[in-house]
Amino acid sequence: MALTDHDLITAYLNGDDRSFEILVDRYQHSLYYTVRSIIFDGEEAKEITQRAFVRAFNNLKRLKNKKNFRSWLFRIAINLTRDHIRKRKTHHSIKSWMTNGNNPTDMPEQAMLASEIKHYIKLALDSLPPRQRQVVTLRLLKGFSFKEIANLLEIKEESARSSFHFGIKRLKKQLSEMGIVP
Amino acid sequence: MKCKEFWQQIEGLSDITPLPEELQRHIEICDTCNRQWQVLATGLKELKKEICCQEDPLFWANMKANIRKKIDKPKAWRSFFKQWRFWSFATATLAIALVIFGLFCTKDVVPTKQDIVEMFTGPPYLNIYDENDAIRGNSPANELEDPCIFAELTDSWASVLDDALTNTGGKS
Repeated sequence: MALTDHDLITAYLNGDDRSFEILVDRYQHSLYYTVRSIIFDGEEAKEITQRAFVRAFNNLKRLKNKKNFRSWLFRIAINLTRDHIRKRKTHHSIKSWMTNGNNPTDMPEQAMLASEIKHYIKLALDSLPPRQRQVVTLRLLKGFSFKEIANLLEIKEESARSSFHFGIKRLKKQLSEMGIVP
Repeated sequence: MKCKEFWQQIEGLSDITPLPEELQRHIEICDTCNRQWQVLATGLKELKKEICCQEDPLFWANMKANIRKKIDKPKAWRSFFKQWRFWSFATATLAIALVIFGLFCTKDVVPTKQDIVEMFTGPPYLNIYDENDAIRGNSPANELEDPCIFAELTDSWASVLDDALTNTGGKS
């Protein structure tokens, strides 16, 4: 029978080194891809995932309910991601980007490759406020339910829904300003 | 179905591809929604592919090693403080430091060899103690309280000082 998080954490706190390995193996993939779905950059996602694990393990004694390790760990990572987005401040100004001669309407529609469309979508997602960006990416790219997103971001389910609604609206507007969609 | 309704329903979907039949019918008749939808779906599909690309096993091993390295640092310090060697060494160092500090507080200068000897044997006048004192019931501790003995001591120290000055060519 697989050991629960509670058992593993207790063993780790008692000095069992193997428990550390099992816990990291169990969550590093899902945590990394969740972070990556929000910030897209592989190296930055790796750095944030590592920091989230280090912070979690250094504060394990403070975690009251050891069964909630997963959601606690993900919450740490999501908060670090939000801080990272705020610090980076690369909310690209679409208009300034357009004035640099990057208008995709100049190109014939058929010539626009899928990879180019991805680039524009990334750019549009980058311009969203951190909360909307988190909700939109977690929903569209990771397929999380609104309940899961609300739990992860510590907000109400309704707030998650409205953030998603306004996020999509804004995304469409940005893409329209870029001239990618009508 | 109106365009607004189409997008509302899109927002309710957890997985955007493939589209349900009703929504599919709408994009077949609405060119604007169709083009918007195609761009979004293509872009998101590509993004999904990008973020889900499988990293090699070395990537995960490296990540685990980095986490361990960063966690073990404070742990090593904690275990160092827990070692009995640390505390015995720290106690001994503190004791020596206290003795030296005590000496500096009581003396104006660095203690000489004589001072250190006196620390263990006591001042020389306390050694002036013969069997007559024992008969009288005097102890070395209360000799200083006796004015006669104190006068004798003063005289004896004065003569010692005289001798020392004569021998070194000084004046008394």
